[in-house]
Amino acid sequence: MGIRVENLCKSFGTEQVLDGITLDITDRSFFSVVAPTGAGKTTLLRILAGIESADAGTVYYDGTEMSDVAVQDRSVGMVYQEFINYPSLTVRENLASPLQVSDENYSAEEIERRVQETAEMLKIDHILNNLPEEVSGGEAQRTAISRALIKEPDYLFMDEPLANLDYKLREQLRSDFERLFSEQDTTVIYATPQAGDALAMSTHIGFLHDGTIIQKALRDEIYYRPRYLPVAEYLGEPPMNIVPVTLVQEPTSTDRHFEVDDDTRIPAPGFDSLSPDQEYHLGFRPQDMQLSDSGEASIAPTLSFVETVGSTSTLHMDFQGQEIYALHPDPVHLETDTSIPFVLDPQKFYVYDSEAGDLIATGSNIPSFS
Amino acid sequence: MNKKYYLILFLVFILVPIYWMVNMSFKPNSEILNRLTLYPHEFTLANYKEILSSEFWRAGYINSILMASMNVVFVTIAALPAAYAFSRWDFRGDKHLFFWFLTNRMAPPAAFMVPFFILYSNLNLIDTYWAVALAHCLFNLPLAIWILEGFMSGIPKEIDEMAFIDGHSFPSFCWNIFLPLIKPGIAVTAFLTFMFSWVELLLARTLTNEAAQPITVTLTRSLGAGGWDWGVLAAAGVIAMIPGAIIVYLVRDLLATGFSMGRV
Repeated sequence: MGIRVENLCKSFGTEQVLDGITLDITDRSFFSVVAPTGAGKTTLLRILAGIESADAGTVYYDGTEMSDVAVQDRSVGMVYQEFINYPSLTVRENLASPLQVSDENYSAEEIERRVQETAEMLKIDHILNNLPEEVSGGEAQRTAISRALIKEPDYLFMDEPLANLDYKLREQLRSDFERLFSEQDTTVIYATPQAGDALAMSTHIGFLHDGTIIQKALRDEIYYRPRYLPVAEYLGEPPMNIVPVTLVQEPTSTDRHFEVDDDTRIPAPGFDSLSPDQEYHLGFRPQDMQLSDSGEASIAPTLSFVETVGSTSTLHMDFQGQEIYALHPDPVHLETDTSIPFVLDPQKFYVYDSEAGDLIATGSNIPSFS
Repeated sequence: MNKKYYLILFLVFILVPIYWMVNMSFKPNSEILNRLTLYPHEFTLANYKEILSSEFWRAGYINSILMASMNVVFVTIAALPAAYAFSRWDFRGDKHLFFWFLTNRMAPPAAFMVPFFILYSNLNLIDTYWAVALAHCLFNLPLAIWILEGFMSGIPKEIDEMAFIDGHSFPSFCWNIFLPLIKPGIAVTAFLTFMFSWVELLLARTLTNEAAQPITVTLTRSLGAGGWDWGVLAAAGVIAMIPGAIIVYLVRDLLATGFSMGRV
């Protein structure tokens, strides 16, 4: 079961959008395709669903090649970013529509029962007699989701379904999704540029970069072990900090440190496998940065501003022209434009090759998943 | 305040000829020719009786209604798929083809008079409804495609995809989802098509003799032995305005929506 994709390619004019995607989507998983806007997520979803054709490559549903199967004959549902409903039909008729044209020949009572059931599940049973233009954005999107779900498709494609909703509705629908899809037998393929959405809901995450899925793994695995720099820099809110460093061997002892410049030396115990005098990219998560009490610091970036949401503060800082974030669980009151000393925990470091950008070493506290 | 008077003045200016025609239609010829009267002094319905009892006039109306209706049917049937193709699909030369269609609308009907006459003579279509209804397609089809394309492009392509994903076949999608959405567009198109066909004179006159001549042609051929019968002519003109008025009345809601959307 599940979807298998082999060597999928698609270009528009001279622009190669998808460049040889090979991918396995586990049956009944919630798979998120994460990538910045314009990376080709939508194109990938459309090809998988069968509303667009690929230049090359094959899509299999449950082991069956789907190239010649019309979209009407596939068991798929789709939810778009724009709230797409049939404007001339009421919400009730919108929901009934997929059942009415189905080959299953549902009876009128059966259709009505399922419309009610699905509407209650998505909390739109009070607007069933309204036209889509008469309901709010959140309700319109719930209608679209209900219509996609009502025929209980094997595969549900969602293309940034929360993007056009305001914050509160996003949060609400996000928790609805988690509840809904843990109960359904549907495989969900969800495209989003929001790392947070993907990390909150998915069972699996794939990261699309330069036309290929460069890493696809279980949610925790891709979060704790982002194999490539672009993944590390994207997944996480705020994302991982990446600093270019050189590994230096102390001449007088066995100690090593990552040197950024003459003033900034970050201790590097436990990275014996790396060769010294080489350049690396050092990664550390914003939540692993500790404000230093003693004045002793691994790194001392300049504070640009503090963003406090509830009790959690995000510190936006500048380090040698690069933006660095730190998360602090309590509200902090620090003066901007001053250097803030931080202590870093080498056991939570990520070290990336400076040229190829792949993960070559991690601190001992990073889970290994193998 | 001033603006209002200008508007009233303009309205009067527009309506005077129409009033004059209605006015004339209730007068006997003697009053029309001998005196200038602002309203019928010798009120008569004789002109209307003459028209309604004469086969010559009645045939003109029936022919006109049939031709214009046939034209609307041809144009709508051909323009809907064409507009859908232009609106939804990219194909080689689509923009050029679309523009070329429009340029047909710009050509003067007189330019096509002779070719049409020769062509339909050879096809034995002269003096039939088909001749005029088909000839008018040349002008109405580009306009219809252009208007409908505007309406269709206003509907997101995702609706089509959504319908196919939901399991609608193409005919089911067209009938249940798509046509209801462009109903105002179809109404506007049908209205403009009908009216063009209803008032067009030059081609209609060239392509018909007697059996199929529409009312516009009848109006120009009503010169009797006693000269022009002005009262009857005016009454015929009044009756010729009625179908347009009825159509506007019937589809006024759709027209109001339609004229504010798309490409009208």
